Amino acid sequence: MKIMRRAGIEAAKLAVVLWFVSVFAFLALRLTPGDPAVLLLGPQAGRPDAAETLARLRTEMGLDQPWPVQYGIWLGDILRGDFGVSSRSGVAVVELVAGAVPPTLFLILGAVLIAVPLSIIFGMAAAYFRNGIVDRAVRLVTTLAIAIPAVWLGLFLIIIFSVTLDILPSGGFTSPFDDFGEFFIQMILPVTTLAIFLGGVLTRFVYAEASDVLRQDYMRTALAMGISTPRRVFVYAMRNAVTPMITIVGVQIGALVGGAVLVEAVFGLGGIGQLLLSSVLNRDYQVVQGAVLLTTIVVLLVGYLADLAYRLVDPRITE
Amino acid sequence: MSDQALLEIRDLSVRFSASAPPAVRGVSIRVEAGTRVGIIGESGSGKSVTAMSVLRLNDERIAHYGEESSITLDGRELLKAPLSAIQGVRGAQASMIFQDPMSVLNPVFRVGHQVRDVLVAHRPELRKTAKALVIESLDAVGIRNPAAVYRQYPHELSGGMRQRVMIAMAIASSPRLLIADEATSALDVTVQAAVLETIGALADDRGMAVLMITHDMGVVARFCDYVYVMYHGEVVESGAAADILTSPQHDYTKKLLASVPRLHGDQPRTA
Ligand SMILES: Nc1ncnc2c1ncn2[C@@H]1O[C@H](COP(=O)(O)OP(=O)(O)O)[C@@H](O)[C@H]1O
Ligand SMILES: [Mg+2]
Repeated sequence: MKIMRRAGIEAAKLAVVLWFVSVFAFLALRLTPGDPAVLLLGPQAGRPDAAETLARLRTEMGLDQPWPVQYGIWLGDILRGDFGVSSRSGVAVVELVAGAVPPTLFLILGAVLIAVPLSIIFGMAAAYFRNGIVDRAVRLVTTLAIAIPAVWLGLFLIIIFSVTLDILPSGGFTSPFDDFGEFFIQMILPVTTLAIFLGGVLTRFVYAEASDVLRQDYMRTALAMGISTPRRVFVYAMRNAVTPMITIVGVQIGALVGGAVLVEAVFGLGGIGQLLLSSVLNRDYQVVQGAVLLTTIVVLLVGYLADLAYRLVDPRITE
Repeated sequence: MSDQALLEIRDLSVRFSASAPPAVRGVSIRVEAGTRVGIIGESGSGKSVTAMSVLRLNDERIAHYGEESSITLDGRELLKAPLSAIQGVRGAQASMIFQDPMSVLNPVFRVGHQVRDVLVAHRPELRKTAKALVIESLDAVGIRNPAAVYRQYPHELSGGMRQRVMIAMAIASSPRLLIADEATSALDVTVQAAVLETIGALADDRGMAVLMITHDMGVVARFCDYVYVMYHGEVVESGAAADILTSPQHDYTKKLLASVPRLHGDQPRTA
């Protein structure tokens, strides 16, 4: 009964968030300058006789309708599972988004797989050797990792490793199922860029949690009972310091996707970021709206899963 | 009895900063094997710092022991030994249990596993049979249904139960000395009495000495053979518990006794 009510409340919250996002995605493009019909027609749009063609295009795309009507039609379609087609290529939005998912997904997975263990090790070590050399080094590096925008970092790495040293490609994406070696080499720089950004945030988080945990009475108990230092730090303290990390990954998934979108555009991986960027520049309304909404749904779902995982892992949370 | 006590604290001084006065000054305490010794004093009088010095639990990045200070356990000098050697003493030859049953156990591990960890840390050869041994020792500290409790988490247990689990941990590898720092202070009176009784029975059974730290004269009356009174980092008086309770010499001890309305109707154990 209680669970049913909770699920109901969560579903209502989810619906409200998605509605806000849909309104935002709908308005963002229409409130900024740029006419989709003009962009679609290209250079011809400047000719004096183009007015008629433009008007026809607008009618075809439904852009002659008032905004509330346009929004209503779009929302109605979505509720029936129809995300529309690209005004540029005529390809279904769902298909475009699905095709753009793999590069972004591999980028995020790679960054998480590298950043999570490293941030646990360095965060725990820095907290244990508080004010020591490890602590100072970790604090300096994480400050830099958080302060430097991911896009700059990506460009910087390209300049060093692709342009100057010429040892790694500056972009491109190959499916790992086609050619894993190529995929691996192409992913090194983008994954590193995103992992540095994510690692900075996560290390700080683990450090703060661990500093708190190491002061707890149960750590003194373990010390007094003769439990070895590695076991105290990397089992007793770590389990306590790292469990909340699941929630932070859940909460940060939005920022992570945001960062991934930028990094992936810098490296031309052809993922969600690049799809969004080109669609915004082309004023491809349906694609932008659909991609934003689909990405939001995925992000929210991951957040819920993280919350669920946390409840399963932490014995103190019952229900 | 030999002239060498089980635990000998001699002339212990501990300071936390060069500018502040030492937290503990010239404290000497003897605990003979199998006896029950108390340290009583008001909050801040240096009881915990003294007790933690035995297992070197004070943070030695800020705590400094006096040159002349010495602590021996079974004749072995502890204050000057490397910390790596102390690791094998903690929980094995001497254990320490603490106040505040809310947070003395790790919240994310089953209590049985925490006890087992201590046992295995000191007796790795018992790994295979450890679970059965732990259930036995949970039983020995007065936990009913020990097999079920083995699988529970600290938050699922009452304060008294958690304290009993910590005692099981402390005695897992049969230490000769148990230091209890206000271990029963956070418990209500009836639970406190029951836990004290358990500690006493275990100590008698195993010939284990207990160093009982408390601010409560009632605990001294009920539990201790001998008692040291601490005030402002120094021992101001010591003697058989019965003598101290009936004819205190020092003004501070008189005040401590006066502040206890009634000793819960108990007679001194040694009377
Ligand atoms: N970690 C510490 N840092 C600085 N001073 C401390 C620390 N621990 C204890 N002290 C000092 O030692 C004194 C005695 O403390 P403590 O032994 O805990 O008293 P209690 O008798 O209540 O157990 C305190 O008044 C405090 O000033
Ligand atoms: Mg104390």
